[in-house]
Amino acid sequence: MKYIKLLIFTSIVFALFTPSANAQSVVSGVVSAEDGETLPGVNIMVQGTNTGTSTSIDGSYEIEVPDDNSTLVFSYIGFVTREVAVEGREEINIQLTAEAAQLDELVVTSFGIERERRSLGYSIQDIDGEDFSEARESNVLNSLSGRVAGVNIINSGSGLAGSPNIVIRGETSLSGNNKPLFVVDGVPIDNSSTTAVANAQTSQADFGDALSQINPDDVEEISILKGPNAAALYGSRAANGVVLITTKSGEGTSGLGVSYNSNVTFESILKLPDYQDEYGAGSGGEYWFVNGDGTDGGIDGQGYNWGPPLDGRLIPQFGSPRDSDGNLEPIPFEPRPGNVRDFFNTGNSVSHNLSIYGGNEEGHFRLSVSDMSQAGIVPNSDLQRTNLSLNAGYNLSDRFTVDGVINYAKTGSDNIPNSGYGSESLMYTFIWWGRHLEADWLRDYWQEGMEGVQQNNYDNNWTNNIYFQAYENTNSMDKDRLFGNISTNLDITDNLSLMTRAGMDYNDQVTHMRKAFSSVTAPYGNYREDDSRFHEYNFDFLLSYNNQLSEDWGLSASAGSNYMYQDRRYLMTEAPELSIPGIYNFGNSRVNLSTEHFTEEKSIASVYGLTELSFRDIVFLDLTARNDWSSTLPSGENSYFYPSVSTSIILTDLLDIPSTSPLSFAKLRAGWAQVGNDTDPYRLSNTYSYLQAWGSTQSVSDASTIANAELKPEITSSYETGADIRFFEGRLGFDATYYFGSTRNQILSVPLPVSSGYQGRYLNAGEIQNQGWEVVLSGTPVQVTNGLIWDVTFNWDRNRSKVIELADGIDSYLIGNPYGGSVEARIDGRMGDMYGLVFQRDPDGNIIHQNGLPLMTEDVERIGNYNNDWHAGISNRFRYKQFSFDFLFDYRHGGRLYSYTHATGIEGGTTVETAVREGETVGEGVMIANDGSYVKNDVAVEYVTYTRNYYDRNNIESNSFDASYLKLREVKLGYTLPARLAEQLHISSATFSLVGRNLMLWSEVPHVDPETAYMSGSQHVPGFEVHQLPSTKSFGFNINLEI
Amino acid sequence: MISLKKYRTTTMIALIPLLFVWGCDLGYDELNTNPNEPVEVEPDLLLPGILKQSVDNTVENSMSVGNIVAQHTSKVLFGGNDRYNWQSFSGFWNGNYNTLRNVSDMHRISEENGNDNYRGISLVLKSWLFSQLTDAYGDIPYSDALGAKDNGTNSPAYDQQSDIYQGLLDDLEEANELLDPSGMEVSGDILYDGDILKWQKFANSLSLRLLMRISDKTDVSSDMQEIINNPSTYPVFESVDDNAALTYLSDNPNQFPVYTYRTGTFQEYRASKTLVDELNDIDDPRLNVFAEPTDVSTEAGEPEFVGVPNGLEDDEAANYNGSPGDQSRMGTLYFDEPDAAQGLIMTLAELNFILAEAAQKDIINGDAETYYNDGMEASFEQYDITPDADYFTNPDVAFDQGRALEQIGSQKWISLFFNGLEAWFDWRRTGYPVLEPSARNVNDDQIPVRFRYPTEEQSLNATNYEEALERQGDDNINTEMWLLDN
Repeated sequence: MKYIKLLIFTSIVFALFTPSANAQSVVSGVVSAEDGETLPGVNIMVQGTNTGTSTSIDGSYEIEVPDDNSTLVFSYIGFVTREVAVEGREEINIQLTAEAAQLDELVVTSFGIERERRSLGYSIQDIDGEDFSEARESNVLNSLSGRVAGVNIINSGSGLAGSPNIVIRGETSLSGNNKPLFVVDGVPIDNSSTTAVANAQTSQADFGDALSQINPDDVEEISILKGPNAAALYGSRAANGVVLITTKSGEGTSGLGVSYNSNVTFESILKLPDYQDEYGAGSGGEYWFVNGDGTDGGIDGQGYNWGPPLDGRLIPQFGSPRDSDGNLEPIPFEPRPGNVRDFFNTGNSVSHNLSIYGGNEEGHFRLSVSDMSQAGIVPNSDLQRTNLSLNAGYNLSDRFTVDGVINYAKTGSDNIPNSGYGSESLMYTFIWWGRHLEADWLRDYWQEGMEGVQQNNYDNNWTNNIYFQAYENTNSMDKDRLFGNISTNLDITDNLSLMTRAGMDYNDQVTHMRKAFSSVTAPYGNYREDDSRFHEYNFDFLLSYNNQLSEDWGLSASAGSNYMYQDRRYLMTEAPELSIPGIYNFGNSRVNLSTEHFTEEKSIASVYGLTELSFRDIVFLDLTARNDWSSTLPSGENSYFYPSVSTSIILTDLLDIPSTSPLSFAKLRAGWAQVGNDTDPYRLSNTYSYLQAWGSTQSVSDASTIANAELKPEITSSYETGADIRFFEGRLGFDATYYFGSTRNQILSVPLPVSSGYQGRYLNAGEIQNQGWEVVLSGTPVQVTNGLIWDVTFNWDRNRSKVIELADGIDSYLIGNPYGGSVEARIDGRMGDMYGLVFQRDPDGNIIHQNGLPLMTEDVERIGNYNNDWHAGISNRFRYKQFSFDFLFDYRHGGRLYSYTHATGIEGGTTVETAVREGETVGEGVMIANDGSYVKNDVAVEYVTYTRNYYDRNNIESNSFDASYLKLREVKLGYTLPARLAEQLHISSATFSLVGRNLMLWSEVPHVDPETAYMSGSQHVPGFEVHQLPSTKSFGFNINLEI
Repeated sequence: MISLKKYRTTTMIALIPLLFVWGCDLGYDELNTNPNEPVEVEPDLLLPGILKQSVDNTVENSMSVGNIVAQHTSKVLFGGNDRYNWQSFSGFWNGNYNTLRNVSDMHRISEENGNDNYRGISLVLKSWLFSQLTDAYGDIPYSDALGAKDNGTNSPAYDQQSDIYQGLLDDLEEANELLDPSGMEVSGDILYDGDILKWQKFANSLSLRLLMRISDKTDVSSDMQEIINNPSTYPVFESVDDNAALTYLSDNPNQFPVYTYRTGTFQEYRASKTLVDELNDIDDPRLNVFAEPTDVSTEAGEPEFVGVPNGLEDDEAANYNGSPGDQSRMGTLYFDEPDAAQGLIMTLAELNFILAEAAQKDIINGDAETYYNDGMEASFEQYDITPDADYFTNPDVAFDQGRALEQIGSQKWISLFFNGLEAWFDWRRTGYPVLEPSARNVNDDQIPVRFRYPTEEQSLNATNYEEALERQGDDNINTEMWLLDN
């Protein structure tokens, strides 16, 4: 199949290599810089054709032009592109001017409206599409890491489809919804991620979010509107910021173009736990394998590595040959370093994209086809994605245009591996996995003669055979997503226009989870299917008026309305046990099927207006207002109004600072905004929830959370102020923002003591404040006329949140409850505060011991916060002639990470901390003397006992670490074919890049990559690492051809 | 497909601004009505869930704590509970109160629609569940509890245990009056299949358990005697078929909870040395049900039972008597079959031992020896075992007036196997059998006598929690509640 695809691609490519038209005349000349130095490698194209060349070492060129009216386009990196009409000349010598950084760039803002950056009273940052497509991630969201100040992205380590966690300007929501709104071409898409919990265990598979369905090849640009200022027009969901994705279109092109991109990368483990190789499986220094469950006289099936030393002594083992009586023969008990690494593969990812685009005064189009196929590092794991997109517009008349964009993404996988704590999770298994094991011993994962019925494993108590888990207990998925919109634009007069748009997002997703017979948690196997469908429709119209009122005053004003409708359907069906092994069909269920089913609808109607007033292009004032009517709130309270105001002042123009001064541009901006928010459907009245039936007897339960018929909208308000200052013709830029936000009246399930009969009730309560700084420094430290340019961008941000108020009578609100601790919001604390049991300490801070062992507190205490103190990212781009070199560092300072791998690795005797086992330890600290005073602890206990107690898995203090890290996020080395060569090949450009992502990690956290998060349902709980899959690095190459 | 009726697309777009001006109805009330779940139900839909959840909760907590502290079983891995390193067992508290929410709802609905049998059943279950709670914790929210939705009591006050016991007994009395075998039919009854007489028997048997429990605190003689004397008004358990014991189903998810454990989790448990030694001493055939002979001895063709002492460290336990293969696990009944073991609430055997003790102490008129023998018979019958005739003539088994209370206590403890919470509650009162604190305990060589309140009560119901501590004493596992405070 793959080859057929490739064949089609190549034949299309070659079909387009048609010979160019006959030349009629030749033009030659020399290209130089302003200082007179000649420029080699300048691209020269005949406008509107594929004919082109480039200058040689001495700056000279020669090009054939079709006729005297042709226009030549001279372009060179770092210089302003010039168009020169031939007008019958045979020699054209020209000078190129060095490019000053653009001051009046256009940015995409709300509703896809392009505006001059200088006019904006709020901060917005954008990333160019090629930053996603060259060194790519299967989820484009991951590519934003380190590039945007104020945006925190955590790649959760949940595998291939991987839903990253994204938070803009700090966590505001007690109920855990901190996700920004995602908008593609002006229309929101649903980015909830789907995970499924493996039955009765907490390990789970992450099936990915909407962003994992977006094709990086189709992305023109991503803009981040960070505050509600920038987003008041998208309504409630934009309260946490907006990620605006603009896809590529054929607009602005002339003639027909074809682009082909191919990307191949290889993926390997970035960080794997450090396992010890001194001791093997067992308990109390004893081990011999009999049957794997510790019942027939052996010491096996313990799940521990507290066995004998791996010194080559002879022990009957799982991998032993059998003697003639069928008994296992003793073989050397030896270290098997790398036995875990041996299990993993080198992953790879191959993508092809072909797009055809074109445009003229009548209209434009772009058609794109992509195929991505990825094999993960876990054997038998993969991800496939096919994207089709069509973006087209047609000008029906001078005044009336129609545009449409449609994207179709088909995503599938045969297996998304589980992560987390439980028998289905591989990293969990490896923590309890015998250090004496050879991975190869487990490759034949069925017991002989019991194929399909009984797995072959060395431990039958706790874990599955790793290969059995990888090949039999698979989680597959099929997703179909269709999203896009159709819009019309009518210019009623020169100043008045009407836009109408209908947008749709449709997602249909089916996941299948299989467990084979003899699985530790499912002796008779298990099959489960989750089928979810989601639609969202948006209907907009917008009437806009735009006029230069006088020489000084400009006005643009718009009024519009939006109607949003969502529906969601979910059906889970499970065959809890199977009757015939290996057949995953509900007809094959041995027992009653169990199901879960719901449908849900929601709608919001809105009217809104905005005005932009400008005075002499120096002072700008924006006002917006919106009123929403939400179906989820009670009829008296379902209408809410929210306004925003922002202003921008160009100081350099106001004060008339000459452009020759070092200060080339200075702008001050300030804004204030408020956003209302609604809630989920059906929270206003109490219902009964279904329990699983007792045989054929159905049963229900009074819901444990009390509904509230008097909910009010949530309110987020925020202000921000900042400055954008540039020096030396824009070669050095400084942009700083301070923001302050508050979210109050949050709609929460406020906990009740269960003795009241209920566990919670929905209430408006709580207030969270966030404030922070964002700084962006950008510059071109080096720009020399020989063509060497060095661009650098530095991002820095720092956010602090504060819990101002919770509900009456509550001083702590539980946000997450992963293994080993909890995340709680407490009044005057910060969002992301981590609580758990710590060491008992005397008034001087010494650890208190009893019988030589450290004591833990009975109550939880705060150990730290999972949010980093600050983030910094630095991206560099060097360009020299045809070469470019980019690298991006991402640094996160501070914050804590609790590692379950660390705790359980020591508990199990599996990780390096337990490599030394001899001797005794006298714990540093105190003990309680008979008179109750604290005296120095002098009780010696065995080293092993001490270590296991000290690092008890419930001790959040000894198992958590400074989460700071530095990552080399990205490296790219690119080469663009000189235009002359390209012309000989009949293409307009060709770029070849070597790319790498996440190549290096510097961190003090042992065993795991600190960039990780535990997933509780589809919610991320950062700060807690619970046997997530190892993080990966990737490297490969990218080829881009434009024809 | 886009249905016009649903979202009136084009019209909507055009008319939205006007609609708002006119304040028109967007149809939101209908849109926001939950189409998935009912707003009102009949009691028959609540009863199955109540019974399953409450019995599951009892089984699970007997497995994880009750059986262990009662020394029916011991732990060889993750032995914190066996070493009395007790956290607050919020699962037990939450499970019971969550079920009581539905019990209280069932009571409300049956009161409204006049079905006295459902109402009676709800009172029996209310008494049983609250009795488990107060026996475990002491003072608890009772009269004020469960009212958050109906009357906004979000922070219920704690009642004194003595008052709670009075309330439980009053409810059982009322239940006995309400329950009428010729009254309205009951369905969804997965415990007694709608047999109201059995519910009545359970109500009165439970009364006798509770009365016996407070017999050291107050004179319960006339109350107990009244029940014994009037079997037509106060029927009690007469056969093992009357046992309040849930028979599970063979199909997931309604199997005996322990059956669904991972093998490794089940392997954390062993038969306790205390139990195995006691049953070995008297050649009790029930040992074959409660425990497995060691694998090594079975392979050698001479099956023998070896219990593991309570509270060993992991390494000690792994090597105890040689290896795990030389130790007795719990019986196959509890793990190998999904529906063989019952979820025990109260049995005929227990009732007979209650009456034997009451007779022996002259609280009621009657022959202690007969009740004692009936108790043993009922326990054997419950497990379908016929002991050798000489079992009953064993001097340690045959009723001996001189040490009758010890014998009754010991046999009752055996009959309560895997009803560990009740075995522990009862042991606290009688002191029989004499138990030694577990080997490596971290509780100063005391066997715990209560559960700690869940931490959620401390944070969410602080004032009332503090008030209860003031009355009852510190919230630790050694504080003696009213029942035990002699």
